[in-house]
Amino acid sequence: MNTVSLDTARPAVAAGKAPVLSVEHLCKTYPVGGGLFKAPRPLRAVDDVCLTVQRGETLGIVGESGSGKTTLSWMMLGLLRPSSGEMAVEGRPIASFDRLEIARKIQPIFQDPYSSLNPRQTIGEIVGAPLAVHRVGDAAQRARLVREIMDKVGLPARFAHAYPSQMSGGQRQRVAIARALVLKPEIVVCDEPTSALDVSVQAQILNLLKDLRQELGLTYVFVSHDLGVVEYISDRVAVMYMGRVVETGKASRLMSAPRHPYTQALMGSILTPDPALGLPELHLGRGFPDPLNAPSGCHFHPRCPEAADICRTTAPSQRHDEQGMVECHLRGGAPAQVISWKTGT
Amino acid sequence: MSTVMDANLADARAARKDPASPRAIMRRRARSHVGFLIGAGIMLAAVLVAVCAPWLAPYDPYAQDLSKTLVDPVWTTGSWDYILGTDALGRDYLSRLIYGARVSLTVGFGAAAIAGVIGSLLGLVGGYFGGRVDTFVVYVLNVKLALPSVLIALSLVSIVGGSITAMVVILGLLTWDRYTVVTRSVVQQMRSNEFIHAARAIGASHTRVLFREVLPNVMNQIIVVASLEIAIVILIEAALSFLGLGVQPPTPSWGLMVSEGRAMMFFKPYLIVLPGMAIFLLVMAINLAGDGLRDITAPEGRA
Amino acid sequence: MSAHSQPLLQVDGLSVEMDVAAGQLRAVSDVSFEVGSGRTFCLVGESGCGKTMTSLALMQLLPRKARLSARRILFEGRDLARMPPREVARLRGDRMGMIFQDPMTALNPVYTIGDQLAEVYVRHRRASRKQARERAVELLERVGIMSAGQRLAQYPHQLSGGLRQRVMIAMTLMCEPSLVIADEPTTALDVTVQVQILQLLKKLQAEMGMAIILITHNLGVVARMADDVAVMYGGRIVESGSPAQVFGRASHPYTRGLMACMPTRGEAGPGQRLGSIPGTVPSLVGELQGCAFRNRCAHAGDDCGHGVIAMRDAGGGHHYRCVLAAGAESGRHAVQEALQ
Repeated sequence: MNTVSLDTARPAVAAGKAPVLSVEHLCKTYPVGGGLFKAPRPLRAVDDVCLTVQRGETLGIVGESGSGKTTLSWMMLGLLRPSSGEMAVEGRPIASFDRLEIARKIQPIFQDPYSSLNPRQTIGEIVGAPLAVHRVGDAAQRARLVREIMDKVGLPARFAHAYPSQMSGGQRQRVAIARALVLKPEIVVCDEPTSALDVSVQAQILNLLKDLRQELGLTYVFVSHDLGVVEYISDRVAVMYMGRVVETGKASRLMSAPRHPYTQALMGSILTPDPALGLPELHLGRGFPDPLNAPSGCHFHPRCPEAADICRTTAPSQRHDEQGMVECHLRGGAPAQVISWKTGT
Repeated sequence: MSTVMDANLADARAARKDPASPRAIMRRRARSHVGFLIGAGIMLAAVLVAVCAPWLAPYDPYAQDLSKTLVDPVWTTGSWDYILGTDALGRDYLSRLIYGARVSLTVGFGAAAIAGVIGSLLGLVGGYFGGRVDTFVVYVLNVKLALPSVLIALSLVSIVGGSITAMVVILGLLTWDRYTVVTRSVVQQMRSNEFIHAARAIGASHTRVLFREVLPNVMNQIIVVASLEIAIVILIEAALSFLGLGVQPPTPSWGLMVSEGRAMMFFKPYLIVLPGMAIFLLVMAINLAGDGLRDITAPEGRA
Repeated sequence: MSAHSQPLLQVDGLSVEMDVAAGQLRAVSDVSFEVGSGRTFCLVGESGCGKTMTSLALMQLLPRKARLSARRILFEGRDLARMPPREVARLRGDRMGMIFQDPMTALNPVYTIGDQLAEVYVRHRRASRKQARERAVELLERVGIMSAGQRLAQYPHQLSGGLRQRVMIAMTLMCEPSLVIADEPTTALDVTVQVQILQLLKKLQAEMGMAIILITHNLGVVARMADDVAVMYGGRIVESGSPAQVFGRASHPYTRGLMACMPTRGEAGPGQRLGSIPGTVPSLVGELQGCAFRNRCAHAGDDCGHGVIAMRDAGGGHHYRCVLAAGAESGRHAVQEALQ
């Protein structure tokens, strides 16, 4: 029986080294509504997304429904095949990994603690499943690894024989975290891991995620619609709208001084518990993003309070500067070339 | 780490009893479900009778005694020698009834097993993969649904000849559609559950996901369908044997016994009442047990 | 808003018990509050605190295994607790309306929007279909839906989440109820849409003068919308008052803990930790001695374990259910520090 060791030494972070995860011109298009006599229309769930994530950092991805953030995270996890574009982990294109290898590198934590655990397996079986699939060690070693990771996430050892139905939402999410980390992956893709939890439990889980990131040297991609949570846990943030990334930047800067009009509207819609303030005035149009009927030019122009003529006709290009990236005709300096980490030009 | 301490501290303080495991909950439900207990009890009794037939039956069911034909059961003019009387060939009715249970149960469980495997596999595969695979499964299913099962069974039996093995195989091949329908829809609903995606993300192959993640969650529904299908198969077998196109004489099948007693229906009603009641009791028990199982294993919703 | 001599809704001693396998579950224990005409009252708490059960109890929509008991539930002068179910059913939809959380499941997918809107009006006002249709168009326009006439023929799945929620609001308002109960009306919506829906509710309240009971777990929504707030935990109200009082001088340790849990804007950094409330909600089955929060409270003492903790008056209509002294001026920062 092959026994695989988990003690791979982590490579040191060196300047100029490839980012641990990079996504280039990634697209996912679904043909929708085709019939015998009608050509299907394309639904661009993810539209030409380029992102990089450095080792040890946390990239937050924010967006509302229809933004494509979940589709993007699924492609990163290998659960969806992209229509076009490339993804690379530590410089190697993802296509060159096989199913087992990529699972050792990237693991998910999903949103719904009630459906992300198999109700007919015990916690011990759930957390140990990755080890079994990858044939790590023998039964005794696997049991030890399971115990260790359960301890790290704050689950008492006796829960190993319990079933998910006996546990609360917060406890189940800890199980999901334990399962994601038992293989000691490099990257953890979190898809709204706290959205289904109560506020007090959410805080426990977020603290846990932060501690584990420090202790295990993890890299997170954190997808969420909750801006406060994203700011709390992320180093950099990418804002998505209708399948495209419209702005990126450092978390603190983006939250306090957003540049893209959509990001500004998002930040404005955060309701802090401050009774003195009333409801914010967002100046957004009534429309809602319909990926099937993408507006011409800039996808955001029907709702943008500052839309100009050029916004209706021409799609904006990305403008990079030291603060990050923004994709808008009315922001940023002169449009710059996308800097590819591969070529450095 | 403080979060570990937090969680343990709260555990210690709350000192709440851990909620029951799903198996314990099902056991508790089973104990208080009257229909299930009655049905399962009768089914168990039938199985025991069938298994212990050689020890329970007072006579050989095939042994004819032409001097003792058509003896009445003990509660009319008969004696305790032949508790349930004898048939037109002098064979002890009680022994034939007991051995008849074997036929019914063998055909019932055997055909259900074959149909269950075929139908569930098709449903699993169709529901899980979707797309073209599912289109193919649905096509096969539609063809099957359009076929008149009993007619085909009749034709096949008349070609192949009647016997227990023939019944098991033919009925098994003709009653798998409900398994497919149920399994397919359950698996389709399950596809949106994230533990399926998590299993794929771990690196599990489709085979592993299908048999270790999906199948255990569908098993409950399959068993419920199976229990009801067993009842249907038993009824079909009885009907076919009655028509002479199922089990062949002298094998004791309840349906055959009804057919053989038809001629003397008005003089010796016990000849058809007794096997008829046996069929009725067994089928009713299976239906009760199946319904009860459905109640017991009903999804609990969010815990 | 004219002041009424008597509040629109007076709830006095509401309790809801449910039979579960392990015994009696006290989902709601002795809840009392008042809602004035034209005012917004917020019930805030996390899952399991009893806020949804309270709202269902008011509308007499409790599940079969639940039993309601109350000293009084006075609505427009009539006691709902003593009323036969058929009369309460007549009030539902007519004088009291409910907006549910998930518009997709709250709207029947096989009927058109127009049919569902008209049904309420035809049933309660005995109007003709034509009159109901006109009223439906009028209300759809009021909730800001364009081309209302065409929308009537559409089905729920053809609309976005925000539009569906607007339709729900329109449906609730068809008979101009004096009380609207909104159970997490914006939780399932995007944040930008949430702001629009809340603004719509406020605008309609100003125009039609109805009272709103808003149930949510989102403290931000409460702060911006409420005239009066009640925080629930373990089936009881643990703190109540105006938003300025409850958020500015949070006195119950649970309220303070909740506020510390929220990630604050512009203050997060790699070294920061969110305040958190350790542990989980205790079981509500059987008799509860003392304070339901004490197994998670950093300040729990011997007094907390006996009898029922009474509500204390912190002045100016601010009440809280704790033996400790009232909270001092506390922004969230002070609360967060105190909990570190």
